[in-house]
Order: sequence, then structure tokens, then C-alpha cells
Amino acid sequence: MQHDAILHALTVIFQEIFDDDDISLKRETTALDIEEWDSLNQIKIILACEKVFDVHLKPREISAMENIGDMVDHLHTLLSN
Amino acid sequence: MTNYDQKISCAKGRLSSIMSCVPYPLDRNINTNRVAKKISKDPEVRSLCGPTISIQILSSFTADYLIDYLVLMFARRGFNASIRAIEFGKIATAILDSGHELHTNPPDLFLIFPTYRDLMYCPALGSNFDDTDAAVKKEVATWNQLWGQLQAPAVQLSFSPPSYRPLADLDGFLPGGLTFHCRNVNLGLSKASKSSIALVDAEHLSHEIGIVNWDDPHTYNLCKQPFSMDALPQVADAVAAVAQGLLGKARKVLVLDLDNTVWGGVIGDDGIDGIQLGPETPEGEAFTHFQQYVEKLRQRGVVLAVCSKNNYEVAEDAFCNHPAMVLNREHIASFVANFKDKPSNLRQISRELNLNLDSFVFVDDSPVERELMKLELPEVLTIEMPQNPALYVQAIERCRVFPMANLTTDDLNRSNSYKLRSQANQVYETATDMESFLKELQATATIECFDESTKDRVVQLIAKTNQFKLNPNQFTPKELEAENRDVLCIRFKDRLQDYGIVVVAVLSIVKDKLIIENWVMSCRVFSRRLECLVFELIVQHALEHGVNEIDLTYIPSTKNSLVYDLLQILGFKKTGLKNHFSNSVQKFKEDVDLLPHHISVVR
Repeated sequence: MQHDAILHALTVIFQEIFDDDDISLKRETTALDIEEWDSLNQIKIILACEKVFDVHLKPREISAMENIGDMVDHLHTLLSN
Repeated sequence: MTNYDQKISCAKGRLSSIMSCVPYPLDRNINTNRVAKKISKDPEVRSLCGPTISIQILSSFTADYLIDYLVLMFARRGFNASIRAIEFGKIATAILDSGHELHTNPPDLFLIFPTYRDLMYCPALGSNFDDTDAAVKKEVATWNQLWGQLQAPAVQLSFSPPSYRPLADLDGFLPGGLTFHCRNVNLGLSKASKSSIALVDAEHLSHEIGIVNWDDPHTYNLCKQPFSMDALPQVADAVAAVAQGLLGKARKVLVLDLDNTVWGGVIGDDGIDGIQLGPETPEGEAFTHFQQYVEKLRQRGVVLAVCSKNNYEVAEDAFCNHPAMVLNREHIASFVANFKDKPSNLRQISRELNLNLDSFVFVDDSPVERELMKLELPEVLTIEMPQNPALYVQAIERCRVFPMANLTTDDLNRSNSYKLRSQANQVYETATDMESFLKELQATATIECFDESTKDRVVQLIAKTNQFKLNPNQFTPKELEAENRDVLCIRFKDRLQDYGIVVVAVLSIVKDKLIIENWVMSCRVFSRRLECLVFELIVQHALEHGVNEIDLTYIPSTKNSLVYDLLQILGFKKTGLKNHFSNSVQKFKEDVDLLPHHISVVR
């Protein structure tokens, strides 16, 4: 899956979880940019990603990510293997 | 409209759109994540749902994700819930702290969510059954002490065992097994519990959701919620249902349709020997099973009513006399059978029983009837019944519409306390907006050709129909093909269903008269004003052939009395001849004013 497609799928996941169709994710987007993106919703995001992309995300890998770009890259790596 | 009125009507719109995402039963294909969020952020909408109720959750696991869903499910069941900050961790510590806010400022309701991990006295492997009893007593004593401190009623999840079983199938039966311990503790707790504590049967919930979702190690590991995110709506609904029962707000009345709901087929057409009920056929068995279930609901205090679109005598006769009926006439607190719209009938039943419509549950196999009911009386709970009668019981079960916190002697005697009510053809003013409803259904009538593909159905319809039929004349296909005969044959469809060919009129032109030799209509499409359209077409046919008069012969039978009323409405007059009716085309056009039918014709 290409980076763009991953970003798009992530955007849909975020729109669902936050019930906000106006969310538009960029590589630079961080938790500070989305009001309700807290540790509770972080779990929902992780679980949704695992379901949608059919991968397993290790907790320590997730805590290492700083922004959406890191997430996209990480997912890309997982999906390429 | 004042500003306030405008605000309310917008809020009602939002409420309606939220509630359409959580029908009864819940639709697994509808993602409820967004509506749970929406309603949690919309106090205006919640205030329309019912009285406010403050809820305190005491939980051994993370219940944060459950909160929005609880708000949604409580709203769905008539409560405006505000859920307090959760105590995550030791339930006991909070309850035993006498200065705690729980006691100084109690909520209206507690929700207590322990897990098997809270059990303290699970017997070790090698214990005997006496040890088991002693252990259960200790667990129950612990909870009794905790419950004794609470100053509000509580809904508590029972203990469900984990999905792993070191003792394999003995885990559920042998001292030392955690499964065995959980089951015994649950039994002990339910024996000990006070009327202010109600248990949610977590083992049953686990079965319903599937243990894969109920005991999800991955989610538990990540965030200390034992069940998967997919399970949230059902867990929330199960808890809200028990709360509804505990707080005395469970619904009370089950209103049943008859045809294709308590028996297979249509009594008006099939007759008492033709309907499916009893052990001879799979369909009959399904309906018997359904009646047995309904009877059991009645035994525990649910009030039963019947609301059927049928001739009253025909319906009651079948109900009382069919040999395989499980339900008896005495079981029914209000028995209504007529051709009025069902919302009007339910208003009538509500007045009769002196019970509010918001305590009613409506069960009917027809999507059209359900649609009208939801539109006209949204406070009535309308269940989306599946097409397969073998699944009727399950559908009602999944809705959790009659939760039960306690069994009282009142419950056991309720059915007898209603006097036998008869309802025969009473006419009441209706506020039901039939015009918009019929329009919204976008009904179409297709005029089919009488040919190879339709002739079997036409012959069958003429033979089988009993209620809407002028006389006993039947025809062979060859007779119908005769030169001077025209067969008007109509297929009826609407937004919700295709009813197939439901009307046949056999017309012949003799000199300057149009004779309706017979006219039949399936009772499935009564109350749709289709007969108004058909008569329009017949009059048109007369005009096209330049005839001046329309005649027919109506022979009353035990079943077709409603035709007589229709003939009056259409403007037919009795002639001197026996059973003969007639009028001039001119008079039909001038004097007769029929209700608009909102049906479009397709040729």
C-alpha cells in the first residue's frame, strides 16, 4: 500500500473516531492539533488501525511516534513485509 | 413559531436521526460510534428522552469507553443520564469509605462492574464441595456488606469466568475450577440480593456477544477493558435494560398482529383450516413456538393485546377455535380487530387499559404497518421483525424489551386482573396523518397483461380470495380469454414491498353496459385505497367503450360483508333484481367523491 493510500485510510479512521468529517491529516499533524486526541482515543486509533490494516502495533513502537507521518511510515513498513 | 419552538423541533429532528441508528433490535451493520458521541454532546436532545438520572460507575476495569454508549442506551430507554466520574480500581475501598462522595452525595443509580479477578476465595484444586459452599458464603458476605452501604439502587454485572479453562470441561463443575466458582457465587449473590440490587447476567451476555469479543485479552492488555470495542453497544444496552427494569420503567404491554405474526397466512383468505399453526409443518411449528414464548411472557406479567386488520368475528373465531392455538382469548387484555389504521387502534387500547403508549411494544410482520407506527407513535416501541418466523422469538429477545428486576405477586396476577375486553368495529376520531404517510409510501399500480405469465396467478386469486370478492363466480383461463371479456389485473408495489398481483377485475361489455363479473382484491393490500384507484380504472374503461352503465352482482357470504360498505361508498345503487347493483357512468362521475389514493399508475 502506498503512503498516500495509508494517509487517506488513516484520515477516514480519525473522522470516524472523532465524529468529524472535517479532519484532514497531514504528515506533520500531532495530537496537539486535534482537540480530543488524548490517551483514551489513542487506544481507539490503535485498535482501529490494527483492524483496518490487519497488522499488530506494539505499544512501544506506538509511543515512539511523534506525528502522523511516523504512523504512516511505520504502517508502510509493516504492510511491505 | 417562537425561538424556543424552533429549537425544540430541531432537537427532535436530531433525536429522530440518532434513534434511527439504534433500532430494535440493534442492527450490527450500523456503526453506532458516532451517534454515541453525538448524543453525549447534545444535552438538548437528551432532555427530550426522559427524566434526568445521575449515575455513578464503580468499576474494576476501564469503563471510559462505555460511557458514551451508556448515555445512548439510557436515552433510547427513556432516561437523560449524566454519568459521574468513575472510580477505577478497588470497588470496595470506595464503598467502605464512609466519607466518600458516594455516600454524602449519592447518585440516583450505581453501576457496579466487578470481574472474576475480584473474587477472593476461589477454592484450590483438590477442595471438596463443602469447601466450595464455605467459599461462596464468604464472597456473598463481602458483597452483602458492600451493598448494605449503598444509598441508591445498583445494577451489577454478575461474574463471568475467563475464556481459559485449565481444568478443561471440568472447570465448570469441579471445586478448584474458576468457572465453577463464578457460577456458584452468582447463584449465591442472587439468593442474597435485596430488591434494590439487580444483576446483569454476564454469562448470557458473553454467549450473545461471543466469548471472543467478551473476553478479549488484546484489548484488556492495552487498556484494561476486558471486552472488545465491538462489544460496547451490546454491553451498554444490557446494562441499561436491567437498570430500566430496576427503576420500574420496563415496558408493560405487548401488542400482537395476527396474520403472519401469531399464525402463518391470512385468516380472511385462508380460513381456519388454511392457516399455518401446529406441528404439521415447519412454518406452523415456528408460530407455535412463538406463541409459547409469548404465553410465558404473559405468565410473568406482560400484558397482551391483539391489533389485527381483520373482520372482528373472523379473527376472534380463529383465535378461540383453532385447535393448535397456544394463546387463549382470556390471555388477551384487549382484542381489537377492524380496518382502522393501527395507530388509532393503539390509542384506543391505551385508553382502555389505562396504560401509556410509552409502555407499549408493537409486533407486526408487515414493514408498512411498522413504518406507520414509528411515524405516528414513536413512543411505542416497534420491533423490526425478521422475515423468517422461526427467528421471531430471538428478535424480541435481542431487544430486551421486558427486563425484569424482581418477580412480584402483582406480576403473576396481572393477566387475570384485566377484564375480558371485546372490541367490535368501534369508530374513533383519528389524528393519524394518513395522507402524508400514503404519499410517502410512493405506491405504484402496474396494469399487467392477462397472458401466459399471469394467468395462473389470476385464476388462483379469484379462487382463493374470500373477503374482497363480489360473488362466487370463478373462471377457467379459457373463459377469461373470451372475446368480450377484459381482465384488469394489477400488480401493487410500494417503497417497502412488492405485493405482486393483488387485484383482478373481470369486465365484460354487454350492449350498453359494463358488467363487473367479479372483482377480487387480496386482503394484504386493504387500507391502501387501492380499490379507489381500481374503480377509477373501471370507470375509465366504461368511458373508453362508450357505455352508460356499470352493473355488478354482489352475493353476500359469511366473509365478504365489507364489500357491501364499499359499494355504498362507490355509489352503487340496488336495482330491483336480487343481488344486483348498478349506476350510470354519469352519476359515478358527478356524485362520487373518493378519498385520494396517492398511487401512481404504470402501464
